[in-house]
Amino acid sequence: MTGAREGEPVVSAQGLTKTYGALSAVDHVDLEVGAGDVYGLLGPNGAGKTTFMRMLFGLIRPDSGEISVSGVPVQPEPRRALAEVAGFVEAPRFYPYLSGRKNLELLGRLDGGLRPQRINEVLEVVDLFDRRDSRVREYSYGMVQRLGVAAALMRDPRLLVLDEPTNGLDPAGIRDMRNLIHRLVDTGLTILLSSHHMVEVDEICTRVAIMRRGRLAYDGPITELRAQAGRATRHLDTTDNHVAVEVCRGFAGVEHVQLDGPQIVFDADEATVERLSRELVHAGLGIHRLHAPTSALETLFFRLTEGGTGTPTDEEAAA
Amino acid sequence: MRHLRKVLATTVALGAVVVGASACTPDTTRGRVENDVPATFAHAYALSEQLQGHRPVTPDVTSTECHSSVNTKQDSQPGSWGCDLSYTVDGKKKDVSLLVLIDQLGCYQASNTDNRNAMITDASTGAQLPDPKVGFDGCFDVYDNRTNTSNR
Amino acid sequence: MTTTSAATTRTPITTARTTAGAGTVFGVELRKLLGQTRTRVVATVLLVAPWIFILLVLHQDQLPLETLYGRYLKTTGFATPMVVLVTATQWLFPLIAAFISGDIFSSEDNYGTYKTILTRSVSRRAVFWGKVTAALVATVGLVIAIGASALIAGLVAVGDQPFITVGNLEVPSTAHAIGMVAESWLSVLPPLIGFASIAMCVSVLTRNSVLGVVVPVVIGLVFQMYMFLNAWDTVRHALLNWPMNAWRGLLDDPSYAEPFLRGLVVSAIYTAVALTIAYVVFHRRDIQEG
Ligand SMILES: Nc1ncnc2c1ncn2[C@@H]1O[C@H](COP(=O)(O)OP(=O)(O)O)[C@@H](O)[C@H]1O
Ligand SMILES: [Mg+2]
Repeated sequence: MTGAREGEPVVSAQGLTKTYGALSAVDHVDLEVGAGDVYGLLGPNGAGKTTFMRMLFGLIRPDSGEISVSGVPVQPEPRRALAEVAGFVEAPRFYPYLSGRKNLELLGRLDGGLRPQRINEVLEVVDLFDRRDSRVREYSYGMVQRLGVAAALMRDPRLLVLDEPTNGLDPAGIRDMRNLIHRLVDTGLTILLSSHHMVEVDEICTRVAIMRRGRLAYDGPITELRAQAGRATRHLDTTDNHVAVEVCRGFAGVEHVQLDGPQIVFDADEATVERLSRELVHAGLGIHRLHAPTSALETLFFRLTEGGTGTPTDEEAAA
Repeated sequence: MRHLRKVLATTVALGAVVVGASACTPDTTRGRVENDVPATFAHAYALSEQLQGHRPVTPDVTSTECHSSVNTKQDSQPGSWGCDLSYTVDGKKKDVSLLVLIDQLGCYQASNTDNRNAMITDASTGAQLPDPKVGFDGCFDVYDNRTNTSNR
Repeated sequence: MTTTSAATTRTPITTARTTAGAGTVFGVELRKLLGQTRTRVVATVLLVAPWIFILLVLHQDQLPLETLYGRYLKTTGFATPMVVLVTATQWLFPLIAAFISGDIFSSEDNYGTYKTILTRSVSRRAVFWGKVTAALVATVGLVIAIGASALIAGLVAVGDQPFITVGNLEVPSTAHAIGMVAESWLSVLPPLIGFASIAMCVSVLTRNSVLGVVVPVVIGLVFQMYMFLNAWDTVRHALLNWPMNAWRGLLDDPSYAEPFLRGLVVSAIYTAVALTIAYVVFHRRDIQEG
């Protein structure tokens, strides 16, 4: 039994490094994922998230450093360390000329045993049961992504590794995938999830590591990160912005108040915004809109990964 | 650098051995042709008689002489060869001239230079067949010890 | 997204997970090969071809005299599998080997599925040997099936008249005749395995399905061109096409096995070298794509 002792990390990386020519894709990364963690590996494209996960899966060999699962080093023989690990890196891939069910059946055999009932179960979980006999060639991108999750669940893993599972999905696909992950989190699985969306990680994860150009820029509980993040920029639109701007200016904890065209812009933390909104209503104002287009975490994320304050892209603002 | 020279020397030596070996023992030699063609002719003759429903009689080849028309100097190598055979069948002495086309696999097609298109009737099926005794195929062993240029 | 119960009823793992060996991979690979339409189509065409061939020959006055056994196509049904064998040794067998084996590794690169199988409970060693045995079994199985199909085609279309050896002797016993046909077809398997191994090696090295098939075919054609060149005989004996013809000695009168035995050694060397290179490269490679 490869099960972890109480307190022993499920994943442990020390000085993990992989270079491609002059580029350090993963650069001396030390990282620990504890049992029960929902661990977010966050970073912009090219940060080294996939490379890290490939080394975790033994698909590529580190140039130096070591990565082990439940205390068992992945190299030189990954099979033993990965007995209770499942997941995928980048987009999951299947044999397009076979059906989804047939693909899972073959993978089940490679797991050392086939339980047809389990295949149906996991197909139900990812909502592909009705399309189980269609060839994977005919699946949409989101369906393949969900089949990837099903293939991973079929192994009954202790650790589930998902590399940007919502990447490339349409809004409905993103919603379905997030709901699925939420349900998996509720089962008590240890999950290592990579993403380039701060919001996604914020929503799901208990711990987070932020990667930047192969290095870890932050590693710790998400609550600590939130505490570090502090104030976020807010946008406010009310029935009478001229009155509202005066309310804001006189409110403790609200800073940098500006009337910016049709809306008021200010900085405040969450507790202050809560009190402010009550005060606005009390002053007889109706609130049309009060939101933070860039969350405090995102602002921090951009600062950590880009070294600047950062402006959100449309995509991130919408998320 | 020294390593490279060693490799080069070995390659040249090996190459020389290959060339030397092949130069000494061609696959197609007069000895092999003169051994195989008469034996196969005798079998083909008997086969022809048998297919026609006659008593299968195997001729006794009394003399064979084959020469390459391509490499007349060494009498070796694939290509076109000529064979003159003398044989006795039922006490009668006969001669036959065969054109023997030899390929690189050590196999050949032999055909009677006078009468290469003769047909016979298969006694059992009634079908018209090319007569095996005026045209037949054969192969010889290129690893046997008949590497001399003549079988005599 | 309807049910969550299945996800929560995860069975606790109490014992170490069983792992899959090369035998399991072998089974999975065979299923994948048979799941591909192109494999099934090509196999069907190859099995039907001897029937079409002999029926065409029977409807013509001319016989293919330039091919060994061509002159006996109407004399005995046993000549059909022999003519198919003579023709197939020249280019078809290397092509079949390349078609099946040249794709077995690179198709995973093509589909990006190495990461899918190598994240299951299976070692690279098991994946390698499972794929190798599946490719060899499929190649050998297809060739034997073609031989059997050609033999049946000949017996049905022409009849079971006595077999005629390479030395032009009749073989009256049908059982003996079948044995000789089988012997000649089985004798091409060692070089066939050699060609398949080269194809797998190329497949591992190039990681490209097109090159994995084309390169071994080109190698086979270059060998074949040398075979018909009036060049050094010793080099010709070291080519894989040479032992493909060793059955001619086994079926001659008197028979001689030396070409076959030497061919075994030649084929074994090609196989060992190609598979060793393939194994080392496959075992060390990084799975970057997909
Ligand atoms: N096989 C490779 N060859 C060269 N560079 C690579 C290779 N794989 C990844 N990289 C580089 O390594 C860096 C990290 O890539 P990756 O791990 O895919 O990032 P992420 O998953 O965070 O987007 C990128 O700059 C990428 O271009
Ligand atoms: Mg990535």
